[in-house]
Amino acid sequence: MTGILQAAEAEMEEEIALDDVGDLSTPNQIFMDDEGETSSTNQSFLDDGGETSTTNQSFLDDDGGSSVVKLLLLGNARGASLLTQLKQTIFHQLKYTKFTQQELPAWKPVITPKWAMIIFMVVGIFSIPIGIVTLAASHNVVQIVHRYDRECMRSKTLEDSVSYIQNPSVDHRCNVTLVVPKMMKNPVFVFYELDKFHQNHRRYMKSRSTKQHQGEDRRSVDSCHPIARVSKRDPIIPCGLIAWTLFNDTYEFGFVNSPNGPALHIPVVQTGIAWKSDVKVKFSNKVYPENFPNNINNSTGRSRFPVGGASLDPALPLSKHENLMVWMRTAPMPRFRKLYGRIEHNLHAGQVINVSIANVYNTYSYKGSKRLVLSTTSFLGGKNPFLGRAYLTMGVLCMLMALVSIFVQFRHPREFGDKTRLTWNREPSELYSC
Amino acid sequence: MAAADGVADHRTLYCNDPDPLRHKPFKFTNNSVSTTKYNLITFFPKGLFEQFRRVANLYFLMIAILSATPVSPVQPVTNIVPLVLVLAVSLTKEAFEDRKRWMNDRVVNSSLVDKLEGRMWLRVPWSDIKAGDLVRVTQDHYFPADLLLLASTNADGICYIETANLDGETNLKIRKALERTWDYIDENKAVDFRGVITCEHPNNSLYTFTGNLEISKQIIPITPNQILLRGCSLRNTEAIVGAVVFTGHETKVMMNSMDVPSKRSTLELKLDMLILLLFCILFSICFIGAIGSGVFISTQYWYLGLTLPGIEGQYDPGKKFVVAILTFFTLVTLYANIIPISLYVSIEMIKFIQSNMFINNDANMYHKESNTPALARTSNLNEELGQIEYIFSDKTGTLTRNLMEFFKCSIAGVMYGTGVTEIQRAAALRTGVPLEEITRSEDAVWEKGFNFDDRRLMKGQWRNEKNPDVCMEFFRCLAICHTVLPEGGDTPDNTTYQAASPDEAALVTAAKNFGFFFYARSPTTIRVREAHVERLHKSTEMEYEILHVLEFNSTRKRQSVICRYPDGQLILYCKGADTVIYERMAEGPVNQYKEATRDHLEKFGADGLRTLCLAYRHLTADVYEGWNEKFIQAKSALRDREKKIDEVAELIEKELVLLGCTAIEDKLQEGVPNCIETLSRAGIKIWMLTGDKLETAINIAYACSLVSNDMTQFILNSDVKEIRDIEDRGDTYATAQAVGDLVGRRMDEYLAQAEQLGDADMALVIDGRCLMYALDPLTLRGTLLKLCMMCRAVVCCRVSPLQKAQVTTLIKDDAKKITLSIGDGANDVSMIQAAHIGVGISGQEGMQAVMASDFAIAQFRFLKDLLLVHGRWSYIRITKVVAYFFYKNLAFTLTQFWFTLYTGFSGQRFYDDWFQSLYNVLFTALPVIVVGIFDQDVNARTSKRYPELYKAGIQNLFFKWRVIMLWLIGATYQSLVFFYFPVSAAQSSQNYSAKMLGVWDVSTLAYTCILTTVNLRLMMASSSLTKWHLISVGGSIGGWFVFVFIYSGVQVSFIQENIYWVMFTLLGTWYFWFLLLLVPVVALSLDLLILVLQRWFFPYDFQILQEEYRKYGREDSGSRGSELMAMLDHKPSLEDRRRIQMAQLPKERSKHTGFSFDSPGFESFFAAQEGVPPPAKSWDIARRASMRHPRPPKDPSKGRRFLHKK
Repeated sequence: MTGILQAAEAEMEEEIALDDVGDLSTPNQIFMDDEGETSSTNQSFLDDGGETSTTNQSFLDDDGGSSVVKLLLLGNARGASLLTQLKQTIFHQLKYTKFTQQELPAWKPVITPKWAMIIFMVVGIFSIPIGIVTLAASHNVVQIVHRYDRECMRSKTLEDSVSYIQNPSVDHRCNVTLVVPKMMKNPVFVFYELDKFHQNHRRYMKSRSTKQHQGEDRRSVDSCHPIARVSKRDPIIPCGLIAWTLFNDTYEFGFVNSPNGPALHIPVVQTGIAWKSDVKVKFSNKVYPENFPNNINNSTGRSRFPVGGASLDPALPLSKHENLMVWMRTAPMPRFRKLYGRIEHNLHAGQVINVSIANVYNTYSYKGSKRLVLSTTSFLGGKNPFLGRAYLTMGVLCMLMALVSIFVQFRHPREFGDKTRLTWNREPSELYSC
Repeated sequence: MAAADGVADHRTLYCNDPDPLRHKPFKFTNNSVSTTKYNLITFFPKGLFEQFRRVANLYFLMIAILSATPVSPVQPVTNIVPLVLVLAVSLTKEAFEDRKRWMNDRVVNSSLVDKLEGRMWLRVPWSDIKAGDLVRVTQDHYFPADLLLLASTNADGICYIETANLDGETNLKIRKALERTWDYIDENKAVDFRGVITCEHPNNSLYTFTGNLEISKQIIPITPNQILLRGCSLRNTEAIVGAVVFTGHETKVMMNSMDVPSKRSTLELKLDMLILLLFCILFSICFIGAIGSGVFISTQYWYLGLTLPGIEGQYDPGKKFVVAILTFFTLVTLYANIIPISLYVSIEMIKFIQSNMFINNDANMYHKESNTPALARTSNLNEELGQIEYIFSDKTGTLTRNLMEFFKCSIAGVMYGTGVTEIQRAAALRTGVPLEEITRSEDAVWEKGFNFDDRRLMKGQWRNEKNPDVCMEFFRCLAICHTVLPEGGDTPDNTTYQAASPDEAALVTAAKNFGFFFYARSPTTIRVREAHVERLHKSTEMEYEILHVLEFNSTRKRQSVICRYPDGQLILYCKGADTVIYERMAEGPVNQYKEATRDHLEKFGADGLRTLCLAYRHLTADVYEGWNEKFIQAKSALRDREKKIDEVAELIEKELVLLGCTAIEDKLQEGVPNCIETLSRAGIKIWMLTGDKLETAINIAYACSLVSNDMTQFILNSDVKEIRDIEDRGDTYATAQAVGDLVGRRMDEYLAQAEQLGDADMALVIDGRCLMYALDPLTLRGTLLKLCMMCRAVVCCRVSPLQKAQVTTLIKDDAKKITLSIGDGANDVSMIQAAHIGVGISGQEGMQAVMASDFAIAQFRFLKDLLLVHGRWSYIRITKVVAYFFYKNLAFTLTQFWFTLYTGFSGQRFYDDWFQSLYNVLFTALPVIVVGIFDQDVNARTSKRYPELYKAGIQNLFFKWRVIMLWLIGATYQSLVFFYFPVSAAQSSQNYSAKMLGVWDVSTLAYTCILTTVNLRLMMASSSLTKWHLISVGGSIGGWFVFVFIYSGVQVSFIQENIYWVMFTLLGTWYFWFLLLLVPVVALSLDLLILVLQRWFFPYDFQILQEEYRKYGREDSGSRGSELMAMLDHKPSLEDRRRIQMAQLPKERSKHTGFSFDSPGFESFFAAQEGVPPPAKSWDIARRASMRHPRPPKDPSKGRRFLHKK
């Protein structure tokens, strides 16, 4: 802070020196105002007198300025030398720079309706095309959203649903048919969408161990409470609530050619769905799932923890479990989508797709929903008209405000810099409290 | 006798006692003084205590502690680091400022003085002096402590002291040693001095002292007349020897100065209110969150693992109440940022730079003659300077130079003297009527006490005037009728006059310059060297026998001298107030100049000059003899002597013949009337508080255009006949009651009158004694306050230092207005400390006022710059900074709150720990400081040209709740944009790869948008943009990017674990770029619209002036071109025109004749008030003439101008 100030000061002194030889130093040109003239304080430096800086004049001019006027009218060397003399005297005692005298060149913007109009216009002119482009991009995205939690649950009561979903010995498979409304170009992305799932809950979000995932310290599980270790010795890898609640519904897709015919299997690619930084650094290829709660049975043969999410293949290092990474990049809002995989086939309009869902993930306890989403992408990503609408609205509003500014200028004209409007020039009755 | 000090009702000192054991039982403070706030040991505890007096700091301490507990959603270091940083900066500043004070003290404490050590005088620093020591002080040196005067080099144990430091009076006062101790001036004798002083405990009464000196078993009472106070200096006396009575902080001067109070500006106090408001917001959002969390928590959210073993209390669904309570604390910690931690430290930095860089270096406040720049002694109060509504000013030394100069005169109905007074100049400036500038003639003389220019009188030219005889009598009167004592040689150049009042000295000096050189006085004669009428370069020695001096006092308002010419002629010369002289004038044609002189008196009075009428009377021997008998009788009367003398004097002072009148300029400080005029246009009310007499005070009030003839004047004076009569009876109780009644009656009367007059200009003049009753909180205080508030000017005369402070407090505490006191002497110290802002006049002798002040300037007129320029800017800057701080913190914190609503009210943080903690101290810190330093709505010249701009500060226009609310609405709106835009746009996948963003990606984007927006918002808020604005704003935003690139580029799990690569991921998405463009624009558009509408429909005054200059292309910055342009086609504004019209209206003729004459009543006046007999009168000329110490003439080789002795 102080360093910057010192630098500022030093530079200002230098500036004065430069100005004295009648040179307009470049930094000042930044402060050209809209009419292209330099701010007033520089004016005097352009004078042939050279030494008569404005500051000296204001120093002299304390009462009415008559002496200054005299000096100015004289305009001769005597006046100048007197000023120089004064300046030297002052230099002696004071730090005499443009900075300390508070006379730095400055641009003083005055936002009038005219300027406001220009600003709003410009913003409007830029916003509307962006809005159109982004809205079009979102519009061109084809997306199928199918909620399946209800149709895959036969029982209607909550208790039944929960006990059904928590019972591992029951078959949870459920078939859903989707019809492709429009041509969906390869690749078609498969998402699952949950709501009322607070991945952003404080207890949930901190229940993970980056150190462990990275392989820095497998035993670093303190932050993972309450899913930290199975016994004192054995840490759970990956530990924590997030990993433990890994989404475990699975989808198998097939084309349905005839209503009762066999479905043609559509492969879903589940690699390349996580961000590179997760794959490369955050999840180590040297750390393998271990004691992962859903795999571990305690002495009674039952899971030590009530069933949470998916289980992981202990043979694969964490860096191979991309679905885990996707899951662990926690969502900002309780309603979120996560990428499940990719279908590398074109889906044509009217095609019927059969999805065989393993409906095992418990969203019933908290009355949440589950959706399956198939979507293509634009350069912006999935279907989301928000940006486009925001830009368009913004653009239109700005245009409107520009019109309002014009209207204000004509309907309620006010003389620019009208001194009669100064409070002390107005009659008391004219004063309004504002 | 040996009882421990503090238990006994007196203390005992053994003077010059070599036995150290005798001193043991008594603990006296040593003589070193310290005005510092801290010392090495107390610095940390006391300094920290001071810091934690601030609500915000205390709060952050609490938060820091809280963030170390498990309820905290953030790491403790994130809250501790900023707090420590803030405290460190503040403490460093405190230490720096205290060190400056310490250095000052050290200079004082190490001044040297002679102390008797063994058998000789040893030079020791002041701090080494103990009570009981004998010290020797030489001429022109200050007394190091309160001394008992033992002996003086002058005859009769007399010494002269100057008390300017205490009461601002420059005339000398006399102190006389006890006869018994006169001999101890010599060190050989002084060694043997053994005395025991028994005296009162240290107290702050300057004019009293009770004690006894026991010497050789003889007990002699000590009076204030033997006491030399610290702070005074020795004059006209080679040396004195004194015994130290009180030392250091126990001296009367120090007892009078209170502790250096830690002043806080009112704005800062309001800031605390604002912080309280923020607390309210904070608690309500925490409360909402806490309730929400209790409601939310439930076992149904199985994914939160709430049924797993080892559940923390905060999440236990079985204990919803506990959950709510703990979450409340979590949220308090989370939202801690709503209270801007760096606000105070930023403000301190800004103020520090404002005072140290700007105020201290302002060339406009630099006094060249005394080489004194302005000095901000504290940087806490800069913005307070922009809100001053009342100024309390001392007179002598502040408004006036205490320099009386013979300026004009009127002799035989002809006015002489061509000078122009400050007040004329100010009036000309006010009315716009140009003043003819008269060049001084070559004959003009300008010396101390004489500043006169008129060819007709100088160099003996008066002989060619119409009435040379009257002129001669006039000059003789000046040369004879006075109580002045000449000193030095017997040539005009090396003579100095010792006068009781500077007026008298000026008159005698005038006589000297007119060719009537008074050079010697004995108890019965006066010698005058007269340049005689007939021969130009010859002078005649004249010796006048002085028969009687009828002294001046405030009742008589005149002074007469009866003298006998060498030729035996008897004549009475008289000078005095016009009223008393005119009453006693002879009828008939002798006084043909009466009318003309009266006109001149009024003219002089209107010009702010102090007038005196001169008259004479020839006495026949019979008349004189007859009168003399009566007079001698009166003089020897035992009862009511004074009164009787006055009555007898009355008998001879009649049938006077008017000679003319004199006009003395009580020289104002440069630019005072103009400054006062400007300040009152700025809405500031100026009160004059002075120890002077009523007439003097009124006169100066006229001279500085505080009071004018268009004003209704209310005068509350206790020195009226009514009261005097009661006083004469000697019943103090009755007197008190009478004065009380009078004051009460008058005030009610005046108040009724004032209420009737309504808007008219009124002025109140009140004297100290009336004030004493008027300030009584039980009865009249309310009335006084009401009356004062209605008056445009208030003049308090004859007030004691304490009363000055009381008046200040009246306005400060009862009327709740922001006050400033300005003064130069020690008698102003209490007032300076009592006011919100104390300003000391520096560059002169006596630093008492400066030491107690918050700001020191060399001249009163610099107040204009200090208030209108620095104060106003500071106020605007600080309000802007404060409002902006609240805005940016609220906007930031509210985004957190919106997020909390979606996290099951769990208090999850939205931003990374370090983002959150560095928000205030790094990424938004610098630009706001730059604005606090550089922002200028209009430039300095415009500020001074339109003083009315200052009213915005008095009305606190920029820091009203309405203004704050507008900012807060803006903040709320923006926070909604900051949160919902990024979150909504992140609901779908990003890019062709369809990957989803996590919470940290979104929050990092939101953070980036916030930083960009708030920094841009600052640019919108500032009135002027220098390159430093651009650099700091650019630097802050750029700095953030640099930081985040580095921070998210490395993976160090103990610092960050969530942000790794987030920024780079973001940069690869269109999401980032589109939002970074959109969010600031959407967020700022509302503010922009409000700004435009506000400026267009409800413009502030400064905005109109900004526009005016914009219209003419450039601001009136005083550059050569624009200055000329402004001069050439300056169209008077409406208000200018109005003023000129007003000035041209026919005015009521002035009735003020400007009589005032300083008799040194000040000291005795207060002494009398405190019930102590007055000390020796310095104007007792006969005594002084007889005891005068003959001194060799100094430097006789000096050139002589005229009046050669031959």
